[in-house]
Amino acid sequence: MSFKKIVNIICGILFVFIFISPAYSLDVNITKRMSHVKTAHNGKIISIQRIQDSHHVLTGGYTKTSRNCPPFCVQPMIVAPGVTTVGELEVLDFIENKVNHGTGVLIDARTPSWFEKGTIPGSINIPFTTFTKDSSDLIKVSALAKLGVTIKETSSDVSFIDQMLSIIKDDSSDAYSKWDFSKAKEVVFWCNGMWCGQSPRAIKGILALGYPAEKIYYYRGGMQSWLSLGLTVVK
Amino acid sequence: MLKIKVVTIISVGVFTFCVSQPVFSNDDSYLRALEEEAQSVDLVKEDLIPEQNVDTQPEQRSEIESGLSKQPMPKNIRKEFLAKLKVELPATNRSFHRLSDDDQKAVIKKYQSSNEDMTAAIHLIFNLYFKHKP
Repeated sequence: MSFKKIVNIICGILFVFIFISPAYSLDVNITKRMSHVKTAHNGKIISIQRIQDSHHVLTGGYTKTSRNCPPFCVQPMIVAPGVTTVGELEVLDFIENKVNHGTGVLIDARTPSWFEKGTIPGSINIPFTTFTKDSSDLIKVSALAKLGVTIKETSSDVSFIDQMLSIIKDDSSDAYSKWDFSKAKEVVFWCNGMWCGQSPRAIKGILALGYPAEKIYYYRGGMQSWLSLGLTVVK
Repeated sequence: MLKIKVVTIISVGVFTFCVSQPVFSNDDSYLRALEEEAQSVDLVKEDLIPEQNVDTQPEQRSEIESGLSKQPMPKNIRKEFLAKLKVELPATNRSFHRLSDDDQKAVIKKYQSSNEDMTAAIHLIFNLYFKHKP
């Protein structure tokens, strides 16, 4: 076989490979090598990808530039010491490698009225109010259970009075001792974007309970950035 | 003259009060502002998921669902019930743990069947607990 023939065959194979590879099956990809990420949401498998119309522009409420501050003030890049701020690619990686395997939780920290309008696929709604001082332990228990946090086991010889006192007492030192974070999952908190204080509040609230900061991520861009890239949103 | 003085004092008082109050001093105000803003923001149809993004092919579903099997989606009712009991009602929690395994299962079943109503479950705990007591 001549050298020319071999070169032709190799070029042919490369051509076919490039055009059938999935990254090139869409026009508007996420990265050069990534066209979509799949996850489950409300029992359906959703493919997260960008809107394929390259002329598409936002026309909904997320085109608004100015809201009163306070309360809708610009959020810092670092929301709390030890908490890592992430962008879309890290969120997609988190969905693929953590959420899809049950080792991480993507949290829409907005109030239900926002969540119902549309959310990032794979997210669960835990409103920021869950972690405020005013919210009941019952609400906190249900929410934290989803993140792998439990109540610490109490010794059987602890008296009933002591148990009651530990529940009634409402100082932060007690809050620290009450929860078992040893199996806490990695969590990504997000809300409406850089002008939204809901996820920063949730992060501060959960940190006050003793959640390990190194397991918390903050997606600052939130819904605003997600939509501006034309990424999939589900209702 | 007195009238002018009174009006001036009231005006200064109101002004001072307004200026010294943080605009959104508490969570209630923040929540109200959030709700108002939520009404004005709506996603347009184009922003929401296009039909082709929903996968219905069985082989792809099972592929991801197998990966998601470890997800906390299906609730562990027993774990949740015990956690609630421990936090809210430590004394009842002790009584619950003195019940036999079958009785404990019955309580969990009751909790689940009554739409996770703690009252119904607690009622059953005490009924079962005192049934075995002299």
